[in-house]
Amino acid sequence: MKFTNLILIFASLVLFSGQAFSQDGDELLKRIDEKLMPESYEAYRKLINIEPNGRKKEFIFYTVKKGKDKIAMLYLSPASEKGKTTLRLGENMWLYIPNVGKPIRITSLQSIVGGVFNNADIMQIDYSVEYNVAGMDKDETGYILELKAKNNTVAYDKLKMWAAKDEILTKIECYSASGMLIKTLEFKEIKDFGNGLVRPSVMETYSPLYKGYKSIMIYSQVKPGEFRDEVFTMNYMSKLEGLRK
Amino acid sequence: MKLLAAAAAVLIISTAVYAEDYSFDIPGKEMLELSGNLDVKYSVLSARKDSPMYQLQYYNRQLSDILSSYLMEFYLNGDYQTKDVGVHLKTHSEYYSDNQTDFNLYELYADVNLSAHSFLLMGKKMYNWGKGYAFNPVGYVNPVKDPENPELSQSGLFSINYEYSKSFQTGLVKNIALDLIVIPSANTINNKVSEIQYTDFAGKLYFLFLDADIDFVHYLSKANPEKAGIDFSRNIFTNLEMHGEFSMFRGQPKYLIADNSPETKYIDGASYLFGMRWLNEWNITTILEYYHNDAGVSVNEFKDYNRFLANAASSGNDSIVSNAISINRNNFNGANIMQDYLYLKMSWPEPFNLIYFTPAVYTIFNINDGGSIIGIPLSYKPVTNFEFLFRPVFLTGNSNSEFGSKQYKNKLEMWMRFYF
Repeated sequence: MKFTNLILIFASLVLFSGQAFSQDGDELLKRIDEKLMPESYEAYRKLINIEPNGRKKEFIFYTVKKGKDKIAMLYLSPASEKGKTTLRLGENMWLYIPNVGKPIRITSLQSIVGGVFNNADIMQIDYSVEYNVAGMDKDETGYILELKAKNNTVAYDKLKMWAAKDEILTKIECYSASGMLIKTLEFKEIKDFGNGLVRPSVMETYSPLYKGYKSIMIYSQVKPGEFRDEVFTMNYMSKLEGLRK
Repeated sequence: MKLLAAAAAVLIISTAVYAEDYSFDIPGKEMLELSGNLDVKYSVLSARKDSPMYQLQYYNRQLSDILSSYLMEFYLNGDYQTKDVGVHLKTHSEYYSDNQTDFNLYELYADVNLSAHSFLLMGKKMYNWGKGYAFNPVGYVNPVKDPENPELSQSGLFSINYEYSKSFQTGLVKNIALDLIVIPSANTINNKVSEIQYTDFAGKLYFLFLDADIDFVHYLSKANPEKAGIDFSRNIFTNLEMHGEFSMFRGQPKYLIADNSPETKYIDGASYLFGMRWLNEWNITTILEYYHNDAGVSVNEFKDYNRFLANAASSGNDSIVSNAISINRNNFNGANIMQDYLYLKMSWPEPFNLIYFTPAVYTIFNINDGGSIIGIPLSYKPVTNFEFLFRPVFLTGNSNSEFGSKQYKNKLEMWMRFYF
C-alpha cells in the first residue's frame, strides 16, 4: 500500500511539474508575442529580396492586424504589384489580384514575392496561436524555446526560438517534421515605435535551401489601431486602400 | 597612420550607408491614382491551310504559310478612393495600325460604404465567381474566360451590386457574405431602353465554414437560362489546396449543326469542375483541373460543325461564307465548346538559381477528341516593372478535333510588358 502511494505521489509530481513547465513556457511565448507586436496595429513594411548577384527586388506593403490571427496586406509598390492584397485568417490565406477580380486561396509555403520569405512569414500571426511550447531553457543571455506546431497546416513543424532577457525575440530557426533546417530568421535593430512599443525593426532571413539569397523585412510606422472584423474578409480585400490615411 | 584614418573613414561611411538601408519612403496616398501597363506583342503563326476555319477567315486569299502579327495593348486604370467612397476605371486600347484601333471600357463604377457591413456598387464591373483557375461552371456573371490567359483583365457587366458581410468570433462559421447583383437587360431598344421584365438577378451566399470557402450561387432570368450551383475551396495541407464547382442549369442553349444548318436546342443539365493546386518541395506549383459541361458538343456534333464550315468554304458563294463566319462567331466562339477537358499547368520560379526567370508549361486536353493545346510560357523580369514573355504554343489533334481544326498549327508569342 505504501509503495502504491509512493508511486502515485511521484506520478502526480511528474504530471504537475510537466503541466507547470508547459504553462510557464506558453505564458512566456504569449509575452514574447505581445512584445513583438501590439495585438491590433497598422504598419508599413519594406521587403528586400537580395539575389546571389547582389541585385535587389523591393516591395512596400501596408499591413493591418487584428487580434491574434487576422492580418491583411496591401501592396503599394512596385507598380507591377500595386493593388494586390493578401488576407490571412488563422490558417486560411487568400490573394486578390485586381486584374483577376476575385480572391484565390494560397498556401502558407508558397511565396507571392519570391525570395526566402514565404506567405506564412510575411503574414505571421501570433506564434502562440500556431505553436505549443515543447521545451524551454534559460541561460545568461535569455531564453531558448522549443516550439511544436499545433497541427499540420502550420508552415513549420518545429521552431527553435531565442529571446533576450527582456523577452524580445532575437532569432528563430524553422524546421520541417523530418528535422531539416528550412530557414533562420534574425530580429535586429531595436527601435522605439512610440506608444510603448520597443521591438526589432528589421527581420532578416536566409536558408540553406536558397544558397546565396537573403531577404530583409523592415518595419516602419507601427501604430496600434482598431479595425472592425469585416476588414478581414474576402469582400473587403479590394477595398483595403480606403484604410490608409 | 593615413591608412588607418582612411580605413576608419571607409568604415564610418559604409556603416552610415548600411544604416540608411533600414529607412524607406512610404508611398503617399493620392486621392486619384493612375496605373496600368503597356503590352507590346509580336506573334508568328504557322497556318493550317487545310482547316475550314482558316479557309473561311482568309477566304480567297493566297497567303504564305507563316503569318505574323504586331500589336500594342494599353491598359489604363484610374482609382479615386476615400474612406467610404471610391470611383474606379479600367480601360483597354488595342492598336494594330492607324486603320485598326479599338477602345474598350472594361470597368467604370462607384462604390460606397453604406455601413460597417454593407457596400453598394453601381456601374460596369468585372465579376469573377467560382474557384476554378481555367474554367468556372458557376461563373454566371463572369466574362468569357480564356483558359490560356485566365489572369488577363476583361470587360465587366453593367450592373448594380449590393454586398453584405458579417464576421463571427466563435462557432464553425467565421464569416458570411451576401452578393446581390441586378443586371438590366442587354437587349435595348434604340440602344437606350429595355423591358423591365427582362432584368436579371444573380446572388451569391458565401460561408467560411470549418476553414473552407463555400458559395451558393443562383442566377434568375426570364430571357437567359436559370442556373444554380455551389463551389468550395480549402487548404488541405500547407502546400495543397483543393477546389470544386457544381452547377445545374435549365434551358441552356446548345448550338448544333444539323443537315448543314444551324440548330439550337435548349437543354437541362449540369456542369462541374474539380481541381487542386499543389506546391512541391522543388517550389513547382501544379494546377490540375477536370471540367465537364453537359451543354458542350459531342465528337460527332463537332464533326457536323466542321463539315458545315468546310462546305461553306468550298461553296464559292460570298454570302454563304459570311453567314458561316457569323454562325461561327456567335455560336461556336468559346475556348471550350466541347464536353470534357483536363487542364494542367506547372510553373517553376527561378529554377537552378536562374534569377528573375519563371518557366511554365500548360496543356488543355480535350478528353472527348484527344486534341490538345500545349503552351510553354517563359517569363523573364530582369528589371522592376518590366516583363518579357516568350510563349510557344502547339495545337495538336486530328483534322476533326477542336484544336486540330484551328486555323493555326503553332504560334510563337513574344510579349513585352511595361507597368506604371
